[in-house]
Amino acid sequence: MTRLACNPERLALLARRIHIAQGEISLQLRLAEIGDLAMPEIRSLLQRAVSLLESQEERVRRILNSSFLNLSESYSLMFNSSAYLLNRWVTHHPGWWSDATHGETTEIDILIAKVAENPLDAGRLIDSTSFLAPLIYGCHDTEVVRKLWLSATDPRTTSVTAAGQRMTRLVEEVFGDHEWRDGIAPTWVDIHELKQIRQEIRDLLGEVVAPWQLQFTGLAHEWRWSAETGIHYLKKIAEAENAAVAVSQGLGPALYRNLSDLPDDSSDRLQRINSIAFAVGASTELLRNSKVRQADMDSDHLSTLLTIPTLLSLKLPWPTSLLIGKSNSYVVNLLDRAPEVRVNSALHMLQHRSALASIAFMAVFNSALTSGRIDESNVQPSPDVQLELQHTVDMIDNPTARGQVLADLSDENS
Amino acid sequence: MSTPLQLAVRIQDTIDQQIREISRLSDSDTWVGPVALISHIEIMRVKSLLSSCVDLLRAHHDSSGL
Repeated sequence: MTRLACNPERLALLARRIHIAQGEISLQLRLAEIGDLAMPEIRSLLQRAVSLLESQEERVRRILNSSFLNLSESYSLMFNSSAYLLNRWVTHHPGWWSDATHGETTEIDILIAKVAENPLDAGRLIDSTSFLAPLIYGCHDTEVVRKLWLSATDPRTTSVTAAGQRMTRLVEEVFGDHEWRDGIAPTWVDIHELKQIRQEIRDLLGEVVAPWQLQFTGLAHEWRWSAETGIHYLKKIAEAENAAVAVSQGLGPALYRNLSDLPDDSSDRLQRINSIAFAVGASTELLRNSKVRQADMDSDHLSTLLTIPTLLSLKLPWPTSLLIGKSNSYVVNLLDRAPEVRVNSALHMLQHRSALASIAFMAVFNSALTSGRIDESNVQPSPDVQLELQHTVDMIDNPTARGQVLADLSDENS
Repeated sequence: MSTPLQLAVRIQDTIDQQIREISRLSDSDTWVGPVALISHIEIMRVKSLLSSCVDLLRAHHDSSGL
């Protein structure tokens, strides 16, 4: 005879069976209230049976919904099984934190891996826990954590709101005060490995955050937090070099995605373009200040440009002068004699913005084409659309910013 | 409209199928831990109540001569 300490699949099945039986007996109870069947004794017996089943179902559900995870609405057996066991493991095994540093796969590695690649289950697991730390620091293999968070925040399968709820909790957990650490049992921790895990988590944060970086700044209102808070976290994320590279690589695609779906109302549209331009300014400035391998950025954005699914029937985009690499000659010449690092950093930021302006131009152009504001049969867009395109480009890459950079560097060198 | 006999048969089916399955799943002999909290005795009590219903309905059917 098998004696199981815990089998959430069986519990979930039991809850379901009790619920079905309860429904059937309730139906019999209604039948026993009509015509020849209206017998008070039968009704009383059936009512007592329904009450007993109700209390049993409540008891089973209470077990399934215990402490760390809320599983009340979840009926996927695979998910219930992983989530329940994870809950139980964290609750009854206070040493989960140190397990991750012991050089081998942990219980949490195994449980999270089961749901990590399914965006729906990964998101549900994160949303249903009130204690996020085990889903960040509980795995020995940070690749499992990476998969979990990338699945749960993939822009292709995740709404802006859901991504916001998950991402804000993630950064608050990583950068906030860790009161929970005081509560865990003192166990042996490999300090070296602990440091490595923390570094790997910092690195993967960049990759997770990259597609949503505009929501940390110009589009912060979409996540109902302030741009100041978002910039604070984005800056902390960009302090890790690998994270900063990932943020840089993700900026172009994030820009394109957010500009490709613009509001119908013209003033709302301009407002969104301005907010996104603000976000691009914040990201590029933060990346300029971080020690990113700036040279990589240009090829990142060139790749983005090449992958944009242009809707043009091979007409030249307007203005045709917007091409990567043609924008910096004047400033380059003037700053050529300044200290190399500062100048390179500033110049690369300008090049970066120039490339991003091209991406923004293509996104707004395609958006206008998709929404019917550009007639495919005409070579030139209407004056209104031309102004909107020019406005988009100017907001992201403009002479004022170039002049400011030049003045800043000249002051420093004088 | 159902007759007492039809209702008795329906309740008996519930005992034979659904309650039996619940009883199997909640059998505390094969469980420890959280499932031990599920009272197998209470499930048996449900079965007993339903069996009483069946007996009463059958008796009613027999006495009415339908």
